[in-house]
Amino acid sequence: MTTIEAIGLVRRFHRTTAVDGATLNITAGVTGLLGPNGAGKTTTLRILATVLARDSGSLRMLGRDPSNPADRLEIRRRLGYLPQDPGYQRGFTVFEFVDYIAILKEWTVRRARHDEVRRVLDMVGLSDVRDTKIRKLSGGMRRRVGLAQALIGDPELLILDEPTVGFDPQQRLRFRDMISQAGEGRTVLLSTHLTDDVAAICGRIVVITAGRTVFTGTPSEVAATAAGRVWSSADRDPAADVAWRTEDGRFRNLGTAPDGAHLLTPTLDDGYMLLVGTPGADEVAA
Amino acid sequence: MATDAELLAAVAAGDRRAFADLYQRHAPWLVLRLGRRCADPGLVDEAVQDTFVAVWQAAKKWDGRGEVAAWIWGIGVRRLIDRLRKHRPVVMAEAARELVASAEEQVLVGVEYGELGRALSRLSPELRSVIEATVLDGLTTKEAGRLLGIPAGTVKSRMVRARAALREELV
Amino acid sequence: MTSSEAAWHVAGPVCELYAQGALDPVIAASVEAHVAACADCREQLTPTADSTRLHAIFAEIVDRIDAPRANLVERVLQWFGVRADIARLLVITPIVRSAWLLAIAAVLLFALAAASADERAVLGFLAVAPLAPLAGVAIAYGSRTDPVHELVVAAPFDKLRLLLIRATAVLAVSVLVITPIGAFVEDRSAAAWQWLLPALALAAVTLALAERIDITVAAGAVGATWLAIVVGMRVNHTAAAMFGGLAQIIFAIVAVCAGLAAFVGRDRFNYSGGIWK
Repeated sequence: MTTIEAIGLVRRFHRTTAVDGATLNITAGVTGLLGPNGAGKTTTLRILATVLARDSGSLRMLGRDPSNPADRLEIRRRLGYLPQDPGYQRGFTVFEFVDYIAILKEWTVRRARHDEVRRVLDMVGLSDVRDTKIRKLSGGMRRRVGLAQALIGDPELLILDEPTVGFDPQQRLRFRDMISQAGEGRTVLLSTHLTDDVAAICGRIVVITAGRTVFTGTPSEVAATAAGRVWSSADRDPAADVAWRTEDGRFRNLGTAPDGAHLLTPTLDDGYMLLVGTPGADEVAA
Repeated sequence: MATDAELLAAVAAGDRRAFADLYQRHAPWLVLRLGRRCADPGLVDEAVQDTFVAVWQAAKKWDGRGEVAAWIWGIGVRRLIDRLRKHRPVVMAEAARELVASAEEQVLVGVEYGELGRALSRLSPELRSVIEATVLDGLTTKEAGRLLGIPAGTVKSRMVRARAALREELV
Repeated sequence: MTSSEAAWHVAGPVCELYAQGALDPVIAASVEAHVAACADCREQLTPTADSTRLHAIFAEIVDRIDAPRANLVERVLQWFGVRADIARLLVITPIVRSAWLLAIAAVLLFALAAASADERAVLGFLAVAPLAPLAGVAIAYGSRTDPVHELVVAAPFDKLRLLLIRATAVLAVSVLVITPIGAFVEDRSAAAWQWLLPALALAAVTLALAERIDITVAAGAVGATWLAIVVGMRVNHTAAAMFGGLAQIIFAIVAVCAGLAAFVGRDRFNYSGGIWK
């Protein structure tokens, strides 16, 4: 069953159109929303997390439409959300904060709620610091607190906005592991601008730029979109949209390959860049 | 293997794992020892809970002298007394239990306490329990009174009689 | 008394008997005295204990340590019948904020000035006192002042209910702090309570408006309007008239109407709950 079905989502802020016709079809497993900064990923996720209303377009989540108050409540009951900058209540310990969110998630019985808080803190490996004040924790651990609160109540749908940004490589690996585990038996939608994150944990990718979905598919399908458009040359090829020097001293070129060019096997990065970041990318994606 | 003192220092710093280890080492004997002073297992459970919550909160206050076990016992027996004050169960009747003293145990008594042990075992249960509470458990006469459910004055007079009886036996 | 201390330890069978309570009391006491000082024999005792029971006890201990300390206010509220989690929400309202404390301080100043029973000063107190809880309500909810606001909106808990809970906390604290101050203002000490219904009315109107616009903006607008009204009416009326019996009835009506309007529009609030639309 499709968890999220969005067609033509539109959302404007004053004069900017942050989301301009995003289309999504998300099912169980981990899906990555991949796009450059300013592509509208955060706004899209906020709409899906029922924090923002959409201006137009159709949206069904877990079989319900968030415009409808009763449905919205039901969606929120099955949702876990980690915003980009989660914030925390001043002076709270890890346990107190997660406990507070659990109250907001309708866990009214004290003992059951505390057991649940302990369970999610265990899942993210923060059991030993549950009496520590959050302000004393490192950024990485704070983000884990954020993930813990998203996991309260075992939600069917997890929405994570740029969960690994600002992490060093080690932290990123650990967090990816946690997300993969959390993704079992659930739908996880995470946004990022880092291709190695999606390559590592996402079964499907939605590439988004300028508020629009430009491609949906598996990582290898994204790579395949660059087939025939990646080639190698001794010097920077002027015909290329983008080129850079690789380890062996030669140049990797992306764009319309000239005849007889030495073609290379495309990677996820190549596909992504051609879909998104280069001048003339609109024509390429068409 | 960390010593009890090291574990306690870690607990004072908020280390949960050390706390769990400390519990595993000391809860078993505490449950048994408190169980010999109170017949109600529910009260004993609560006293043990109180004890370790207090250990968690007061770990910093241990002065580092003597055994950690003795410190824990001091907390534990007083928590039991607090619980008993609120809810007094039926007092255990020691004399009613069947004593299964094998030959080996007799020898043990002889080895550990020698004359004193034999003299103690010849005291009446009332006198002996007072000696145990004050000497072994380290309670004040007031606390011993609360544990045993008798007035402090009775504790004092029984101690006098017990000491006199022991002196008679040993001299 | 000869006890070869190094060799005397509690042997296996004695452990079992001790655990069952079947040892002679003196021997048992002997075991206990030894165990208090010998870690190895303590270890011997461990298998004899009931592990299910020990686990259950530990679970309770962990829960007691973890439980955020229910402070005095929470316990008082629960004693009055407030549900435990609601009491918790009430208590963690971010009340202590510099902006709000400034408002309270301003009220204090006015009150002290009004202690001279000067009519203008009394009016000043009555005009400013309702603004203090209003300022508190303005900062008690919303993305400007609540660092966790995104999570609050995405959670199922009824947003308007949460706002009401926090507003109640703010109003309650205001009443507790300001009423005694008001008693100083005049001998009559009518001023001690005459500010209450205006405060309630202002808060209710702000809540109703918060369903359509940002709550901080709403509070600001309501506060400014209030001051304008007071200043404007001062020209033709006395403080006694402006805050007297008839006026109090009007305030009450305004509060009730605004409350109803807020109730009717609550679904709207539940969606974007203060996020600027």
